[in-house]
Amino acid sequence: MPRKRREAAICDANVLIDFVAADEDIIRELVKYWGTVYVPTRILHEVRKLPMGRAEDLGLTVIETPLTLPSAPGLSGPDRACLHFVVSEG
Amino acid sequence: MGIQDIGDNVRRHMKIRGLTIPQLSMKMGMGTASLSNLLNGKAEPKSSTLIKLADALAVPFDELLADTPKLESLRFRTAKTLNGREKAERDQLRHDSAIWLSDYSFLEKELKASPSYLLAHISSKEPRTAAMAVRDVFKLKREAPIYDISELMEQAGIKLRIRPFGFKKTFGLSIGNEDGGPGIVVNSEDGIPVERQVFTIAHELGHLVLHKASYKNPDESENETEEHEADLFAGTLLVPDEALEKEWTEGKGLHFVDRVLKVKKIFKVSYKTILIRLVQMGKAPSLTELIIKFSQDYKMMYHHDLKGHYEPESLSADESNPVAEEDPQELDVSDLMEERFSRLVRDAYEKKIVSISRAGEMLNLSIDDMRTLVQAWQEL
Repeated sequence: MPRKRREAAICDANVLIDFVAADEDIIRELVKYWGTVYVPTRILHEVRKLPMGRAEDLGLTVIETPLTLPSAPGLSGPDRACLHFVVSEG
Repeated sequence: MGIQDIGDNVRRHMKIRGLTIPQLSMKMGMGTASLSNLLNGKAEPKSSTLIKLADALAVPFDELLADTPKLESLRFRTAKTLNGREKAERDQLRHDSAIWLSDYSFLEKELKASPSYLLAHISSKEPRTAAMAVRDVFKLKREAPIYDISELMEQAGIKLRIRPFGFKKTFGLSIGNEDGGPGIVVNSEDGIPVERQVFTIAHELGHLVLHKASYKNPDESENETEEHEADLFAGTLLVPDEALEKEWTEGKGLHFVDRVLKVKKIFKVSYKTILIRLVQMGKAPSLTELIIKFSQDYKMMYHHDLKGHYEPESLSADESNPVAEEDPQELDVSDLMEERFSRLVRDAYEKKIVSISRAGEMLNLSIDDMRTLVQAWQEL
C-alpha cells in the first residue's frame, strides 16, 4: 500500500544548522520521508550555510513570511515568524 | 513598522555604503523600477526580497523592518559639518541607540534589575565642584586614578555603549532619563585612542551632571560654554587638581615631554588631557601654544608626529612592550568594555526570558555566533 504523503515544517533555525553541520543529506531524507517539508524564509535566512537555492535543491519548500508579525520583546524576528506559522498553520 | 520605514531604512544604509539604486539593484538582482517602488513605499516587498536587500546591504533583516525610533532626550552635538554619508551614519547611530536602550530597559524590567541613578542629587553647576562630588559618590581618594571608568558608569546606573560611529567628527553622545537613560555612547572608531574614549565618557558624564536642561533641546550645534564646562568637569574627574599638583611636582626634573607622558600614564588619560589640565590649573597660559610645544618637542625626541589622533604610548590592546612592575599600572582596551548589557542578556537567556535568537539580536550576533557564545557560557 503506498505511503500517505504528509507535510512537516522546520521552524527552528538551530535544527537546520545542526542538520547542515552533520550532513545535508539528512534534509533530503527528511523530505523523502515526509513528502513536503516547509521552511519559512525568515528561519532559513538565519542558516548562513544553507542558501535558499541549496535548500530548494534539497527538496525543502520555502514559504514567504509576513512582514508584520506579532510583537513579543523576548522573541527575535525569526522566533516570531515561527510563532506566526505555528498559530496560523496549526 | 510601515512600508515607508523600510524605504527610509534602506536609503540610510545605501548612503552609508555609498550605493546608488542601479548599483544596489544589480547587487541584489532586482530591477531598478521595482527597487524604486520599494524605496518610495509604493509596493510592499516580500520577505524573500527583503532578505536579498539585507544581504546586499550586509545588515540584519530586522534592521530594514525596524520603525524609525525617536529619542526625545538625545544630546548629539558637533561643531563640524557632516557630509551625506556621515549624516546617514549619525541617523543610524540614533536608530541603534534607541533600539539598544529599549532592549536594555526591557532586560532590566524583566530581570528586576533597574539600578538607581546615583548622581541625580548632584546639583552643583560649577564643573570642578561637581566632578569632585562625583568622585565622592564613587568613594575615590583625592589622588587615585580611575582604573575602570566603564565599571563606574554602570555602577552609577548609567548605560554605556562603546561602538564605532563610522566617522570621527564627534566622539560621543549622551541620552537623558526620558528615553530609558541616562546613557552614554562612545565612538570607538578605528584610530581613536582608548584614552580619548575614556575622556569622552567623563565629558558626556559632565553634560549629564551639569547640563540637564540641554537634553530637551534638539539643537545639534555645539554650545562653547557647555563644552568648556564638560571638559573641565572631565579633566577634574580624571585628574584632580591636588593629585596632578603632586605628580607634576614630583616629575619636575624630567623633560617637559617625559613629564607629561609620566603623568598621563598615571592617570590613564591622553597627553592632551594633561595639557588641558595644566592650562586649567594656570601652569601654562595658552593651550594652543602648549600643544604646539609638546608636538614639536615630542617629534624631536621620539621622531614621530602627533597628527591623526596619534596617542604617544597609547593604552592599546596590542601593546607589545611589557610593563615593568615598578611602572605605573597600564590600562588595556579591555578596561573600557561595557559589561552590564551582555551580563543582562546572559541572565535573561538563562532564565528563558529571551530566546537564543533574540539574545543574538540584542548582542548583534548571528545565530551561529550566538550558539558559540552560549557554548562558552555553559563551559565557564
